[in-house]
Parts: sequence; structure tokens; C-alpha cells
Amino acid sequence: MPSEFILPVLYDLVLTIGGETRLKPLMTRFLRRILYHTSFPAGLVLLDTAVCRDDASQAEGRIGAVVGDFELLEREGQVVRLPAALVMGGVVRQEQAGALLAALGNNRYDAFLRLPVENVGVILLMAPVMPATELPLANMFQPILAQLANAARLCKESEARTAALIDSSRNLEAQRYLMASVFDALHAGVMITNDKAEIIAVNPAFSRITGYTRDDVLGQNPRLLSSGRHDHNFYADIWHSVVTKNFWQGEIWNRRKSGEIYPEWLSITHFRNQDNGATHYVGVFSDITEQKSAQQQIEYLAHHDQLTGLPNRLLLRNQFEAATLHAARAREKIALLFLDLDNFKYVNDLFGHAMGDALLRMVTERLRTRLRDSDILSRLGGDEFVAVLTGVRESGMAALVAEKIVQSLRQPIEIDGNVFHIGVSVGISLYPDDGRDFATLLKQADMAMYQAKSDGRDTFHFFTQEMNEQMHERLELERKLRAAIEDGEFRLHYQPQIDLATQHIVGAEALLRWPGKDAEMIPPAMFIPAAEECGLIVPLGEWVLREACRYARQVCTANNENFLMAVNLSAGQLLRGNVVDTVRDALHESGLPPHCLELELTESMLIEDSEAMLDILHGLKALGVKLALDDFGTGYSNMSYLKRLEVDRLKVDQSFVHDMTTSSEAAAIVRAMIDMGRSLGLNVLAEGVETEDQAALLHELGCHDVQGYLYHPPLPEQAFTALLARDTQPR
Amino acid sequence: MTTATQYIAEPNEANIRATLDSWRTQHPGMGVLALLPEGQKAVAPLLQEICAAHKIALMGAIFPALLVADKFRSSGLWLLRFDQAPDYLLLDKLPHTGDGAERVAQEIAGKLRGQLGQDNEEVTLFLLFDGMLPNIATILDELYLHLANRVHYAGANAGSETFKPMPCLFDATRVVGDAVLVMLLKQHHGAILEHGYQLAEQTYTATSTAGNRITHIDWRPAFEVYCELVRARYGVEINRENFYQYSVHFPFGIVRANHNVLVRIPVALADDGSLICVGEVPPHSVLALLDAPAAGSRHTVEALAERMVALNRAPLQDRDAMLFYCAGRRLHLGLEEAQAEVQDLQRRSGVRQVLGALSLGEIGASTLWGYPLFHNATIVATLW
Repeated sequence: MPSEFILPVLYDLVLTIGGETRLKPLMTRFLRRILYHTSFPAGLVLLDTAVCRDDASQAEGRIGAVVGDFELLEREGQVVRLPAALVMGGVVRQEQAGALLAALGNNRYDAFLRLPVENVGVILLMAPVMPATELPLANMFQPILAQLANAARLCKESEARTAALIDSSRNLEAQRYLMASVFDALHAGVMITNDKAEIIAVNPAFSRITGYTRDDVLGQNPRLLSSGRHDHNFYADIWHSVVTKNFWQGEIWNRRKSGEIYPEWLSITHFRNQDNGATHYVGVFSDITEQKSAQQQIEYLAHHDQLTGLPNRLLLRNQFEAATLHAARAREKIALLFLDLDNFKYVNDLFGHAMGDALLRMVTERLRTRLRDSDILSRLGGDEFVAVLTGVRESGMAALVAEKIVQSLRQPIEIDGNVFHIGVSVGISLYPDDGRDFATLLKQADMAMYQAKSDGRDTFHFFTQEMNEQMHERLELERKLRAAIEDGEFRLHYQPQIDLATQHIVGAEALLRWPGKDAEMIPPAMFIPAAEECGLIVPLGEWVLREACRYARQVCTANNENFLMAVNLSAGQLLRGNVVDTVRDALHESGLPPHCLELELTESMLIEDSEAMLDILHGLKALGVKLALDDFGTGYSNMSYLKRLEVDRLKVDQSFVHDMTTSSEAAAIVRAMIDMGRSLGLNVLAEGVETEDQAALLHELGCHDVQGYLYHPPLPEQAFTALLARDTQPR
Repeated sequence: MTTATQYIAEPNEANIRATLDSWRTQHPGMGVLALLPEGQKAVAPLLQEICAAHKIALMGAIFPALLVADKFRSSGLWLLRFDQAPDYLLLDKLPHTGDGAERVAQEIAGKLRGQLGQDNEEVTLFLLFDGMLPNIATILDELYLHLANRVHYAGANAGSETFKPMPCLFDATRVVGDAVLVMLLKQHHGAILEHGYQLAEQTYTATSTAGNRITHIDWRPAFEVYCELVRARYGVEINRENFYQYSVHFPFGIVRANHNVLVRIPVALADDGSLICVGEVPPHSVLALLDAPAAGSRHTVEALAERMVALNRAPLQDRDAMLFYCAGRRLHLGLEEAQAEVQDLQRRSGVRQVLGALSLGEIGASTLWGYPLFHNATIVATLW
């Protein structure tokens, strides 16, 4: 091995040893460089090694520095027992030493290089496989190890001198002894720095609290304790106080050696020696983790109901106020539901308070299941609860939740074999409609609750009468809708669609009809919005699709194989139901060819969430069904939009058709729409045709198909079938 | 670590959203690593906007070019999905000094030590640095002091091939320079790295260095010695005017005891004749000029492919390889030869696809249990 390879390595190591005055950094730096040069991956320095008195095959030493081994790093500072064959003796470079090295606590290594450092200890370099090198590792480091031994001795002396200097700052031996005893025995941590902010002394409590040994921190800046939780200004304020008032005291978060962050109560005092002007800073601190935790417990008790763990009135008020800030920004409502249990007093009187308490806990659980995580549930005391519903877009939602709560507490509650029938009366006030502050809304909800009690209990009542009536009507309608779906009360009527050129029926639009109890049809405008809001639109829409497909298949087989059945889709169906699967199933069940089904969409429902909608429309198109744009002209029509949506047909809204023979403006609009449709290769159908003049003008403008009372009203299935049978001659 | 990858040739809003939306439905807790070529750095804010809106953990870097299959591309976008977002940090305003490196390493180790998980779980510390940082090797040295062999080390340098400062690392809210993006990849076996450069016999000592600057070689001005060495070995006359044209072809190697060689490409020349390299040159390093791999030589990829198979402990046909290919190496070998190397690597290793970027420095260990080393002119490969 040429010396030009060896000398730079030795030179670098000599410089590494350099002028270091502290043992730990010296050893760590030396280890790091020697590992770099030798290509061993890990190494440790064992200090003060000696053969054990009770077992000569073992040696003891303190782990002084580790590089490259995470597990050994965690054991830095510990005294360990290792095989004497591993750590005692001269320089050794040994392979197949896995058994010896296993004593380090893992089976990772099989080769090592031992470098003893006189009067200091030993350096061990470890590797899974002996690194290939031509360097004469067994003897090239001898002169360096002698240097290292000297440097280590100087470091030890220097550290001892520093300690001695600190000690000698008190010249009375007894006083020093006393002070040192107090210093060591204090439960509070103490840290002393010099004017350069270098730590010069710490007591045992410091090590107990922070996890750092004295060796770890001597000469370091106290910054090593900082948690990262405080900003620059926080520390600047502390130092301003220390410099100007010679004192600071307060709570601060610091970090232990383990990485754990903890709170401490710290006081910093600035001392200036009158004789020599030297400056010291003394920090005295206590770990206040436990106090903090107790404080948190007190905070919790101050803000929660002990029986149920729910927020009490104080916390409810805070949370409500926070919720109003969000609601004001989002332009949403908040509903405050005041709940008072019915018949609770009787449980308490007859079965005692323990049973009453158990019942309240059960009620709390039930109420929780009826609310979302974002809602707030609070117990005011006794049998009074308050639920705050956030993100309320319309008042019906509050009514729905109130109804669910009432229903849920209508179910009997069983405790220890006793069955209780209680109920709840609910009063509702709304932010911002009924008021904006907590006290007002709570009072109003309370008043509404009394109204619910006087209405016969076991129900809910809104603060405003108008809202109350509206909501109860809405709930009644929903109940009826549910029953109508279950009882099969709905019917489909079919309005014929006519080809203007041949005057033959080419298709029909399926229209939902609900015969009321008195045989009068309930208009769709009344029940469709309610069905949308409560989600019934999905099962209702499914029924319409299945029924329309069944009938269309019948017509296709008997009359016209290209008969086109148009079915309206609602926004609710598109957003909530899995409409593609529903259509696929309806086609499959009925056997209707996909090209005979047309799905009608309105422009407004497509605008809302165009990307998600586009995916659904592509899914529908992939099934082979046709798409029509209903009420065309009333929304945001533009050509690129129509192309993207892959629409097959435009339906001109009846409002334009109605005016087209009397208003030149309406006629111009209809012409433009027909032209636009034709230029895109789309079929155009005009709705609401009622007069011969309208029909003639539409024909002249190039409109393909029409529907309206001029031809036929929507007909029940039987009448439509009869009409189709007659539809053999042009009109 | 389970993942999916998607190269988007036209990274517009619709295409990015389409990919992220389809991923998001299956993996609501996912994270995304985005690689962009510098020509498309304007895409980063768009990515941030989309990811912030959907609360997707975003990590990203801008490189001179992307590697897509066996081609280097200056457009497009790689999106790499982690089914579960890894723990990550983006630290910026990094100090350029040795002391600063100590603080950076302490911060990284302090924040990630708690996330290392079970003792037996293999973890890779994946680091993407701004290539303009002069103290990357020192930061790696310091990190090794804290995390030692608990993690594998892998990564590369991002930035502009012009070597002009450019914010090149990002998360969902920031695009920053002078920074490092650190990711903790669980159940990951680290990376391997090869360069294939051969040592010239004659060695020299870097007698004075500071960080990534060599001031003296054998007690003489570094540039003067460098010119002599190149003239003597290759017959090429280097001067201040043509330095930038030639230096990439004649890199130095730092020779370590086991003949492990760290490549250092001189990329700039200071007024005082100091050579400025990508990556630090420790004082008293033994230096030698390096012979680059000959065109058509496949030693580098052969070694890489063998070790990739060993790393996976199984055949690689259903794995992807993430490659960082040094921009200096491509400059030296030429585009076609560089692409041929990548193509050959894919063939020999049998991986399903190659993805990655052209980098400005690479990080890996030359042995599976080794020190993290910072190189130039290499190919670093990791299984993805």
C-alpha cells in the first residue's frame, strides 16, 4: 500500500483530534472520520474498560460514543458488560466474530477492528463483512491512537478543571458543601450558563427531568432544550425581561432528550459578580406536566356535565358562538333544539335517582346516534338537553332530525329488567331567522318546547307558527309519499309525441301521476320537491323507469319497434342514486332495446356539478340510451355544452311555443333554437303545442316532433294503447 | 409501501383531476409524489390547488427532465401515488454551513424518529435536495449520526440543468428552493447506486478544501493541477474559456480505503483558481482523475440490474424501477447512449417500467449496510 494513501488518512485524523476540549465530541468526531476512511459502517467507543472482578471472561465499560448503529446509540452513557475477548487487548482485525459481537445486542455484525486507546478505553469498528481494503489497518493507526489518548486525557482534565472552576466560585468549603448538597437535592431542575450562553452546571434534577446527562449538556447552548412550540418573539420577550429586569418567570414548553415535549415553570435570574464583573444566568424549573393534566381535568369538569360527559351550558354557549361564525360565513342556518323528557319525574320519584341517572345516560346514547359528529349535544341539567344542528341548509332538515329524536325516544328503554316509556318534547329555534344570540335562541326554543308540551307532548314545535305549520305539513306529505310508494298508488300517464312530417305517433313522454284519496290527482310540483328532499325520489324514480320500460317494451312488440319512451330524470336521482345501474337493470328486466329509451334532463341540473355529471352521462350513453335536454332555452344553453353532453334531442320549452304566434321575439328564439339543434344534428321536439297555427309554424321552421294538447293530453296506459291501435292514418 | 404511477403527457387541469379523482375514490388517505421537468414548472401551482382542494398530501420536485420508459422528456408529469401518505417534511431556507447542516439533521431526525415504527420494519429515508445546496454530503453525515443504520438512505437532487437557483421542491402550499423534501418510506429496501467510472493510477491530495470547493491540490492551485492532469492523461488543453465545455468529461474521484470511489464533477471555476464541485470534498481527500465508462460499455447497468434483483429478493417483472440519472453523466455520454443505458437496464432487470428523472446529484449507499453517500455521474435505482 503506497504511503500516499496512508498519510492523508493519518493527517486527516490528526486534524480531527485537533484542539477539541470535550471528550464526547472528540470521540464522536474521531469515530466518524475513521469509519469514513475504513468503510466500516458502525463503531463505538467504550470508556474506562476493565475486566470484571467476578468473571474474568467479561469486561465492563461505559459507552462513550456511537456512530452508525441506531440501537447502540440509544444506549450511549450506559455501563455495559461485554466479552473480554472483544474489548480487551491490543489491535485486532477479526472476521467470523459473530458470536462475540452478538453481545452488543444484535446479530448484524461478523467482523470487527479493535483499537485500544491507552488509559481511555477501546474503539470497536463493526461490519457485517470485513470491508475490502489494502490499508494496513492493524498497525497504521498506532501513532494516531497515542495522539488520541493524549487528547482524551486533556479533555478529561479540561472538563474536570471546568467543574473545579465552578466549584471554586465558593471559597468556604462548608458552604460549598452545603450549597452543592442543596443543588443536588433540589427537586427543581437547575441550569447555570455563562455570559456566552454556554451551560456550565446542571443538577441531578435537571437530568431527571430533561433526560440529558451533565456530560451531554456542558458547554452546550440551552437552545438544545427548545421544543419548537414558541416563536422567535416569545424568546425575545424573555431575554428582554432578563436583560432589563434581571429576571423572568413563566410557563414554557421544552423538549426532553427522548424528544417528548413537556411544560415547565421556569424562572431565569441574571447574576453579575460584583468583584470581577462575570455574568451568569441561572434557570430554575419544575416539570408541571402533572399540574397541567390536573388543570385540564378541572377545565373539563368546568365545561362538562359529570353524569353524561356532555358539554354543559357554558361550553355549549362557546361552541354555539363558534358555530355561528362559521354559519354566517357559509350562509347556513343553525337549529337549536330544546329537549325536555316527558315522564322523567315519575322515573326519579318511583325508582330513585340512581335509576334516573342510568336512564339519562341511556337517553344520551340514543340522542348521540341521531345526531351527526358536527352537531353539538349538551345537557343543561335535570331532564333538559339541547341539540345544536349546524350546516342546516333549510328548515326541513331541523324538522327531520327533531322527528327522528322524538321517534327514537318513543321506543321503550329497558334498564335492569324495568321497561320505561318516556318521550320527549322538542322546541326549535333557528339562527339567524329567529335571532342571533345564544340567550335569545335558547329562550325561544324553550318557549317552543312548552308549546310542544301543550300540543300533547311527544312532538316538536318551531318557535314561529308559520314555520311550524309548514314543517308539519311537509312531514305529513312525506309520510303519505312513503305510504303511497309502499301501497303502489302511483300511476304513469303517457303523452304522445308526434312526427310533424308524417303526423304519426313516434313516442311518448311518461308522466308520473298520484291519485289522491278523493280521486283528484296531486300535482307533481307538490310532491316531487318533497320526494327530492327526503330521498324518496330514488325509489320513486326507479319505479318510474321500470314501469315505463315495461310498457314501452309492450308497445315496441305490438306496434312499433322504434317507439321511443321518454322518462324524466331528477337531479336527486342523478346525484344520490346509482342511476346508470338503475337504467341498466330496468332495460334488462323489461327487455326494452336501449335505443327505445330516452332520458330527459334539464339544463339547470347539469350546471351544478358538470364534471361529475359528465361521468354519469357518459355512463348512460354507453348503455345505448338516448338523452334529451328538457325545457331547452330556459337555462344556460350554448353549443359547446350541448356537444360535450352528447345530447340526442332538444325539447323546446312550452313557454316559447305558447308565444311564438303572437310575439315575433318568441318566434325568433324558437327559430334560433331549432337552427342550433339542426346544425348539431339533433332531433328537435316542441312541447306544449296547443294550436294549429303553432304546429304549422313549427313545421315551417323545420321542427321534427311535437307534443301537446292540440294532439293528445297525457293518457292512462289503456287509453294510450287504444290510441296507438288507431294511429294508422296521418291526421 | 403500495403505490401506483401515472405519466401525464399533457398535464392540464382536466388530465390531472381525472387521475387524482380516480385514485382518491379508492384511496382517501393517499399521498402523491409529483415529478416535473423544469420546462413545466408552472404546473406545480395547479397541482397544489387541486391537491389542497381535496386535502391530498402532495410532495413534489422539479428536475431538468423526466425519465419515461427509456426516454428523457422535457414535458409531462409523473404522478406517483402512495396508497397511504408517508410521513414527510419540507424544510427550506437551509443554511449553507457545516454547523447549519448539524441543525438540519437534528431537526429531521427529531421530527421523524418517532415515526420509525417497529424495529424489524425496513424504512427508507428518501431525500430530494435542491441541487444548489453546497453541504448535502455534510447533512447526510450528520443524519447518519442520528439515525445511523435504522434507515436506508436514497434520493437525488432537483433543480435546473443551468445550475441557476430555482425553487424546485414543493408541497401542497409552498414551492421553495434551498430546501430538502424528506419522506419516510415504510417497508422499503433502499436504493442502489453505480457509476462505472474507473480510477486513474496516479492519486493526489486535496490539501485545502472548503465545502464543495477545492482550493489546493498537493499544495498548488487546484485549477492549475487539474489542467496539467487532463493534458497529461488525455492530451486536452483546458483553459478558463473552455472549462465548462470539458469539465463534465473529466471528473475527479475521491478514493476511499476500500477503493470505493465518489465521483465529483467540477461545475464551476472561481476567480482564485478553486474548482467548485457538486458535493463536498473533505479536506485531505485522496483524488484521482476518473476514466468515464466507454460508450457501449454496460458494466454499470449490469451491476445495477444484478443488485436490483438482490434488493427485491424476488424477480422484478411486477415491480417498477425509479431511476435518477445524473445530468452530468448524460452530458458526457450523450443522449442516445444514456437512453441506451436505461433501455438496457430495463431489459436486464426485467422491471415492468422505468420512471424517474434527470438529476443533479444522487444519494445512495454503495453497499447495503453502508454510509449514505452523495455522488455525481451515477445512476441510482430504487424499486417503486
